Amino acid sequence: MIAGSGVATRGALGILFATVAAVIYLPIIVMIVFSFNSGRYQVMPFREFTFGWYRRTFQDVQYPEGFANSVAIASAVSVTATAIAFICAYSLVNSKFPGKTAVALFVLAPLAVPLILIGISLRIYFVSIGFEPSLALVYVGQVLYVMPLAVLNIRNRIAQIPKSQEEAAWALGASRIRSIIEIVVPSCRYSIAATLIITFTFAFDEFVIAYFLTNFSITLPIKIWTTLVTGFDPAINAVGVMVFAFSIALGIVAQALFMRKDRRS
Amino acid sequence: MQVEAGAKDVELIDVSKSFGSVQAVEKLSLLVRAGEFLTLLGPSGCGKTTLLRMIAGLEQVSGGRILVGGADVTQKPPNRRDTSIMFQDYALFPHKTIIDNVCYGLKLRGVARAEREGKASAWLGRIGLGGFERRMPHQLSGGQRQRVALARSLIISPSVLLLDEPLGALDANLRLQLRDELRKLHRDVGLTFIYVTHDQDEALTMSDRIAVMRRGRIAQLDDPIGVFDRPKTEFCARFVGECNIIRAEIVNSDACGIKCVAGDIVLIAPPAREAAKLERGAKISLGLRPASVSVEAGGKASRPELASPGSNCAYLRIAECSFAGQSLKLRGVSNGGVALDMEILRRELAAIEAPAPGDIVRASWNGSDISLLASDSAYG
Repeated sequence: MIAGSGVATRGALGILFATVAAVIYLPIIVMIVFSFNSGRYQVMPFREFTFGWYRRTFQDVQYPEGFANSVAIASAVSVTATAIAFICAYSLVNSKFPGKTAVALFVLAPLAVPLILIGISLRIYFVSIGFEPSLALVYVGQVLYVMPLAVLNIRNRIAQIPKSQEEAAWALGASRIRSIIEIVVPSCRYSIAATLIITFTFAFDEFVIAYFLTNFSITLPIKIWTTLVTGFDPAINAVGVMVFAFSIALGIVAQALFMRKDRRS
Repeated sequence: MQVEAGAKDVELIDVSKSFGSVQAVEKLSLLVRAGEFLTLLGPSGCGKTTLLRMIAGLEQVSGGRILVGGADVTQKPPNRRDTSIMFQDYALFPHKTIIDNVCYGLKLRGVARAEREGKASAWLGRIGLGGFERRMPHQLSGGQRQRVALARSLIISPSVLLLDEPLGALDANLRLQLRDELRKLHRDVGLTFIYVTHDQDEALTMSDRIAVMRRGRIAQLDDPIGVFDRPKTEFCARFVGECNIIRAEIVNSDACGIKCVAGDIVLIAPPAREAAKLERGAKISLGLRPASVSVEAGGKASRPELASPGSNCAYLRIAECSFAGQSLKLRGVSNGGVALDMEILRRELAAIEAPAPGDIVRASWNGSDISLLASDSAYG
């Protein structure tokens, strides 16, 4: 029961909403505005409209390099994590074995572990067994990081598929592998696509693990951070806007896939 | 069009299945003849679906063996068995077109596309769905999906078709229609059908034989007339059709029949077919269908204090009376307190005045309509 739907209550809720929205979106709006401002400093009044900062980001080799690294790693992470997550989710839904709950908890555990702990422990572990910090390690660490999300996402979908569909395929002569490829995967195709995108975006803007597991290579978030700590450069606004637009576009596609939902019989 | 593979028999030998501590099927043996329409009939939880799934290979047996056409398939996975199964929810593949659904089994067998699509189209025509090839399952009605599922199961020419309550999800009229179609299809394809249902009407109208199941065992295996007319146990009598269960005490038993008394009613049942303990004084259960009882007006003037008017006959005071469409259902109680349910066709009521509560009627029945019921524990 909603207590009191009077004007006062609604007014208060409206103010609360406006405040939350302002806290979230005002900084982004400020960033967008200043990315087109020719002024050197982040202060009003607005000077002249310019695309200069955008041009400058492309002249700095580190931005394109960081972006390329981030895209490459995030792509690899998303494909790997989604593939492993599918297998994992399928077994969690379809098989009964002792300790199944424990395995499920184990797979989902990284959700509850602070990122910084994952970052530190992976670095210590990999270095102790003789690996140099590198982008390859970032890839491994981020697969681990996005895995719970991917498993949860796909598991929910697989659990909705009536078991009889696969059983019907078996009775018609399909092996288990074939029934998975031809019956289960097509039934999950939107969830799989959405998972690919979501894990990509998570890996793309992940900073902590990437920072701990690299020495000299950079990803885009690392480049942004180093730029910020070494002195303010208004070009950062332009980078922010581009990353923001990129993420929003991916997010919209993912959301559309979720909304579309895999069709049920 | 004829399905080519020959029908095969299915033999279950001491098949058991337990889920944890729950015994779903208990040392069950059954021979399903080749080409037969056999129904596994029972309430939910009696193990009928589990049994069917074990024949399909979708459940592992806990004990016993399953033979199809004489070959032991107990350890074979479902895709290596000569059986096909149809599910209550039809389990059509939602992302495949109708024709791809029907074709799937042939595709798995490596049949070329043109050939399999030709066969599938022929099947679709046969089930009245010609022209539906490119539709998706969700565009079809329940009855249409059911037919597609049938075609998909039969196109691979299995030896045995297993049907798990295939009419359960349909509305009443469609169910009646599809019952006839299934029966006709069975005659046409000549396969062994094993059909699971909890609906006694479906079982009685469609089957060659019925296995009545209770608690993981077969309580009775007989043809529909046998199951209805000669129920073996109290459970069978109650589950298939309505039945009075009369607890009686034997007066004497000989080759002509069993004379027994229930309160103030004397019954003469036909002689027992099986050697049972039928000594004087033994307690037995008798089954008598309400529709087997004839009712005549006892007359409002009749004196209810009249004792039993003879054997297989009683004066009853009507306690309840309810309308059931074609017939009228009555419950009468004898002077000695024995209750009996009766069902009379309204067409026959013309002869007598419709009984009302409080009226006295004369009820009588043929001794041959009485069945001697074993206790349920004797048959699971």
